[in-house]
Amino acid sequence: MRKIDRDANRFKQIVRGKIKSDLRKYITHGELIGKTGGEFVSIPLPQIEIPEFRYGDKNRGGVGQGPGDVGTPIGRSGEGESGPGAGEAPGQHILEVELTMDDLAQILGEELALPRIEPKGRANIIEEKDKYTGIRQAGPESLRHFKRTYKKALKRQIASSQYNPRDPLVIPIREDKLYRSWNPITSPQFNAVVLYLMDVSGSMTDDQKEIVRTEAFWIDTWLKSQYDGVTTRYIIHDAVAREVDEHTFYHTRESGGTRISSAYNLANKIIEESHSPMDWNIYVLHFSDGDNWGEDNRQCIGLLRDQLLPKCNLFGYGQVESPYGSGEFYRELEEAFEAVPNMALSEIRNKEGIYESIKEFLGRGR
Amino acid sequence: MSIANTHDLPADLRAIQLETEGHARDYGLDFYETIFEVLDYDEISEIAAFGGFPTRYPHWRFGMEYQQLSKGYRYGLQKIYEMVINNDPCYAYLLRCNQLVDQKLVMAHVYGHNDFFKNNIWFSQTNRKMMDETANHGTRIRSYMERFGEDAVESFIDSCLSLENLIDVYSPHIKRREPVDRYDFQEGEEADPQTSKFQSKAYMDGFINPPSVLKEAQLQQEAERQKAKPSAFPEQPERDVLLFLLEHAPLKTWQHDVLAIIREEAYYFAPQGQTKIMNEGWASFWHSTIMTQKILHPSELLDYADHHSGTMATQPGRLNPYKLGIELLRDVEERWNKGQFGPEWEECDDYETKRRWDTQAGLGRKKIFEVRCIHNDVTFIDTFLTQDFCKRYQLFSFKHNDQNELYEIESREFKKIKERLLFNLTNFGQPIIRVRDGNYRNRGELYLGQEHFGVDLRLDYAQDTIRHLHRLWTRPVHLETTVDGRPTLLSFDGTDHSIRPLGGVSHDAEPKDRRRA
Amino acid sequence: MTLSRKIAAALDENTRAYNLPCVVTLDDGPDRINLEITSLDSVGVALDALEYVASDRKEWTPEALNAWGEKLSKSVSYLLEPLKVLEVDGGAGLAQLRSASPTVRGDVRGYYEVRLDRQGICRFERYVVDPGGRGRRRTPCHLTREVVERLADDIAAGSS
Repeated sequence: MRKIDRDANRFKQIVRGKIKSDLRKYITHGELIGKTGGEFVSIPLPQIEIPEFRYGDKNRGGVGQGPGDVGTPIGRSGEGESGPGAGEAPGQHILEVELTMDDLAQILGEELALPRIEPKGRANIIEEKDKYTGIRQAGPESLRHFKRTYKKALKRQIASSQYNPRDPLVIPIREDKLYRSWNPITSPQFNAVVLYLMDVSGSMTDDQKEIVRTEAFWIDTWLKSQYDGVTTRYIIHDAVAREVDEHTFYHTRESGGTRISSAYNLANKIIEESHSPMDWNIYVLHFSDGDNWGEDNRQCIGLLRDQLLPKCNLFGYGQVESPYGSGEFYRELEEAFEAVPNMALSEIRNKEGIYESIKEFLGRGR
Repeated sequence: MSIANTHDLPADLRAIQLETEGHARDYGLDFYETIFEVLDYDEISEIAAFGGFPTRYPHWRFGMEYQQLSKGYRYGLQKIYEMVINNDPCYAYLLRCNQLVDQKLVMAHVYGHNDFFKNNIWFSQTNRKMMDETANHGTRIRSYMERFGEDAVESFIDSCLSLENLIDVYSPHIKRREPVDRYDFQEGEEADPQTSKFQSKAYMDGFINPPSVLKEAQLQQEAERQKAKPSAFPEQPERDVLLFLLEHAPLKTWQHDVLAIIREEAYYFAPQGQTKIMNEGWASFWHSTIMTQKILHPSELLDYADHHSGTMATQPGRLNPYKLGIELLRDVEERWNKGQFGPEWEECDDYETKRRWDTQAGLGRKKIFEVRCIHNDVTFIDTFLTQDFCKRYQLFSFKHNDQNELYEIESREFKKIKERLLFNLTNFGQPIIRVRDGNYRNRGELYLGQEHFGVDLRLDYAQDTIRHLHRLWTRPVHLETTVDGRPTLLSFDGTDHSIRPLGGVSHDAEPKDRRRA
Repeated sequence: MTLSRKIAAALDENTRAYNLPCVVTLDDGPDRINLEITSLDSVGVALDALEYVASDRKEWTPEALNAWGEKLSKSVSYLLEPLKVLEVDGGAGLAQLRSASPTVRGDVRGYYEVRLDRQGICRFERYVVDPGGRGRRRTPCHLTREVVERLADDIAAGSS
């Protein structure tokens, strides 16, 4: 253990404590979290710094270099130093701390007291697109199975203390290279699939979509920490449903009425075709403002009861509040399903409601 | 002349060191024995996080610094090329993955720094055995942590660090009390040793209430205070607030020692902050001079100042302070070589005459050696910044626009530029605060005042800092400042903050029992 | 034009004669309008709903309904909130307009809702959402006489 580790760990502890105590704020204001798309997220922590007497921005200034007329803007407040040679006295800056997704998930789990998921035991899982069904050690280069190989090389490196987390260069060596073969492997892997369903009919506003996005982020974070692999699928619907990619999911608005059953049908179809409950832990999360075409409700309830609920680890319905206050779908579900263990219902009034909603969904622990 | 201490350097680097050091001496640079060590990037980051001293006391701020450095590196924002310590012998750390060409440049740069540390007058009072000293500090603090608990000590250090900049950097020497025998803990002043382990504690949680024993010490102090004490002290407003606290705050022995340590280290580092521009300019000047002596392709000459900027990636329009240093030094050298100084020069206002002025005085080199000896950044800029220089380098002053929250170009006038620059350099661009009264209202309350220059304090930071002050002082603390042009008093009584506008502009302690409703 | 004058006439005529609440029905050629009135005086009416039946075609296609709705959202600009077409449900043969954003009075949000269905019926209502309450409830629209008349004309115009 290096000398800096004591202080680095100490700092990490403090950071975690701070995030935990402010977790509600970070959950509510999902936009605060900088997602780099990789394994790190960055979180602004303004209060972690040690305070001292320093100047504010008013009347502050400095000296710069370059072309430009009087009045030309050169930067915002809070963007680094406001004067040269002021290395010791920077302008206000918000400390951004980095965490891994795993760290974040841990904090989430602790603070929300989330029960750890116990995945159903599964047999070997291979990517559905694979033609081959197993791994062996010899074989042609073209069949190299990268992921497994890499993992093995990584393990080897760690075991021989060669792994440097700051410079993770892992080179698979010959004996690490595993090849797909015809024989099935027997080591189990726990996989999950999350299907996000969203109502994109005319009555869903951008704010509501932001709420969905924030919820999805936290749910993903948690599930990724509980499973070896998580596959995500996106379905949007108005009166018809279709599967889309993530970007389209958040940026589409349709105007063709609302038939929630279309989404449930499609979700069920996808599950039956590609994600057998024998092999997958299935999570379905549906977000809508609840303004369903009245006669469609019965169909939805039937689909849930007969098709989806028997297959899912969890079915969650989050009703975002419509400015028109018209969502009766929630009540329909409430009445039709009493105390079903793998169904979670949540009404999300506004951003502040995200926290409770996530707790509701993830507190089911399956 | 001692042979360069080449320790465990690999042969090629050893050779470079000998050569470079030879050149440096030939040019007249004068420095302590220099020991180079080669490290990986994360090793250097680690040492950088500690401010250069691997044996520093434990504290989470170093962990934070390290995290930021690693992150900056990961995103290509920061790169440390070397690290030099003001010490005898001078320790310098090289980055292992630098190419040989770079190492040469870095070494030359290091000797520049080294010479500066040794010869600049603002460093004359610094402890040249700081490497040992910090180790000693670290040991003491660790022993306190063991006796009194990691949390308690670390949280006390948090408070001290908050007040770290309240020292008097312009005093000719550090005022010192009788050195406290560090192992002389008097009975009755110790708290119950808390042997609490590594507890998870959020930074903002709890400003620890002083245990009952502290109250005892406090009462003791109070009794002493009632005895013959002048009704107002200090006699002169005191800039060295930390010293004042050391002398008059009701601190336990270990707390006293910790605060003394923080203060010592603050004084040690202070000159580095005061001479940043000059020091970097000087070191850059020499590495580029020494390097051009070699048969190196000029194109290989990295503009070191750009790379070595310790700040974030330079934003457009921003000033690189290190570049400013080297350019200004070059300007001084050229001017003194050409005799472009003195009353005649000052009075001449013909542009062409000035431009062609060359008396062949040849005093440039000598002058800059003198400059490196006696100036700090403030006096350097004040003395040598010229209108011509500003024009040549397209300098401008900028200021904050309160309406749209942007910084905007303000002026290209020499006077304004100089004013802004000097303001930001004076006292590291930090507010100047003094203790005015240690017995405010005759109730032992602490009263401080800010010398206001037209820029207000960040109020939220100020309140948090006052809270830390209170933690040490234990009685109410007040700070007189100006907010939006109005004299204002910030106060904290241990529970509540208050902000009160002050009526008359009174700088005297308030008479005995006048209390606003 | 004629529709509004008929409304004006009808309301003037029997202002005191109506037993409220009641439905006032008027025909304009083959088209019909129903006013579900809960209160009435010389200044204005409180309507539970306004219903207009256009009879110039057997079946309205979704595109036609959409066109009608768009016209309405452009011409009906004099109410508390502007209207916008929210959904056109081909399957149900329905186009729905609502206030672009509800008006908040105290802690109650109110908005208009207009439904145009495949049989050519336009139904105009107002709803409020109580805070904390689940769902919404219908509330009377308060319109001046001139506004009612103008609204009727615009709905009729939009349908052609």
